[in-house]
Amino acid sequence: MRAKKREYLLPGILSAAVLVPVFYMAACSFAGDESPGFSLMGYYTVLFSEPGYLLRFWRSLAMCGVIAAGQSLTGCMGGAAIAKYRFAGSKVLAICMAVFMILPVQATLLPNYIFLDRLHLLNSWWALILPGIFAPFGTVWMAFAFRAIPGEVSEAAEMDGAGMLSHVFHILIPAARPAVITLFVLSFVESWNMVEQPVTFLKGVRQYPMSVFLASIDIDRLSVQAVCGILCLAPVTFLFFYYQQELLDGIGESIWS
Amino acid sequence: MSMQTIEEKNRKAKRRAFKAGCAVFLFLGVCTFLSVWVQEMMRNEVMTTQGNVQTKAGESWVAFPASAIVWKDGEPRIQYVHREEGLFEREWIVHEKRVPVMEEEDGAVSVPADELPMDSGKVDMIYQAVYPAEEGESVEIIQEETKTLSQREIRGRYAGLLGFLVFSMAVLVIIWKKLCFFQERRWQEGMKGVVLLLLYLVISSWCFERMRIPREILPEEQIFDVVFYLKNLSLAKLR
Repeated sequence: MRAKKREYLLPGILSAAVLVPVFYMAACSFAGDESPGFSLMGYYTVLFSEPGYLLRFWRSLAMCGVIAAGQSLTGCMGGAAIAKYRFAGSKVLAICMAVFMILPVQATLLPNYIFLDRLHLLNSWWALILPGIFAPFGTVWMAFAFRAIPGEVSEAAEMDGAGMLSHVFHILIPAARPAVITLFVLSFVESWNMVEQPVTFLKGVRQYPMSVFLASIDIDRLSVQAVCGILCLAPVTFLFFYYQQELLDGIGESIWS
Repeated sequence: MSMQTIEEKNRKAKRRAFKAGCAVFLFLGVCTFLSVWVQEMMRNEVMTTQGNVQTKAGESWVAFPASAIVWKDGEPRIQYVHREEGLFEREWIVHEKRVPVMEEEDGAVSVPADELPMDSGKVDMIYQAVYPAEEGESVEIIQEETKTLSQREIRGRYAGLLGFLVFSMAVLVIIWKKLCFFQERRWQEGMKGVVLLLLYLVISSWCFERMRIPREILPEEQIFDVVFYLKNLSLAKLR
């Protein structure tokens, strides 16, 4: 019993250290901005008196939902093409995708900026959505997941007359469901936390999604900032708790396959 | 632990997460809707004047009620409103400007016209407000002072607010329970929750449209200030 307790000690301390900023944020959300002491004014301001915060939250949520759904779709299609079909340049394409995936966001900002400028998409949320949807991570991730599905399954589907699309949507995606959900969650979290892209591609604070807007809240309104921070935790926490098992399976399958 | 037990445990955890998530997002959704109305109801009501332009010794002066002067840090200031882009529409936003020493006469003051922040030759200065206006605040301009509500009217408005709060809580619990059916893939029951939610939003909008509450009987800072309501009710009783 004691040995088991000791086993949990280090992870427990590390977890507590990770959670300190969250606890600090929660404590700040109950602090008064003008006078010290307990106050719920931060919550009142964000939830009831200034709709701007919640409207921005929903807009950001919708944007990240679109990016995550879009990236899951393009990832599944691209991943299936690379993993299950042979075509001229498929290997080169797969290598290119993997290389682009490794590149840091900062390295792709400038080419993306120039490209979006030519498409007249700067200063609109499309500048965040389109590069997010077509990020190479989804394709590489799904290619790994689809490769783990035995070739016999695909052959059997082809023999039964399944076309390319029904092969992807009825055979591969259901078979790799945890990986698809993991991709959805990871791309959602990535877009929910993006900072560099909105700062570069959007002009003003009015357009910023929640992740960047947090920093532009007046420092004198620490409680409002803390409540907005807690608000930011809600969607991600929900996704992690709801898809806990799928995440474990998805990450496990893709890594060990 | 057998496979079945683990699966059952996972399913239960998923159900719990969905219920909690559903409650949080439903709450946030309703808060978004309500906050639009709360912001509108809590908007400070002010009366403005453009003053009278007079010419004295070849110089243009603007005379306006002395109540338009606000003293801050020992300096006389005027508060004026300017129409600016708001969240949904253009709003009147309060600004402040220090004005030089003025002449005071019969409850009116005069200030050199070139010292005022004129916009197309006029400026809307606040000379009366339900609660002290603050710089950057969004306000509503009213044309004339609203009549004081009777004791019965005040009670009626407060009863309406309380009734709406109780109604909202009861309906939202029902809606939440219905929405949770989505997790069990009972689509029809879940859709009933969605329909109920839409109905609730329509009814609430209708209620807010009908229940126009004058700013003076609402608390200065936050709408849930119960002490203010109790005080106001006891004052109404005394009237």
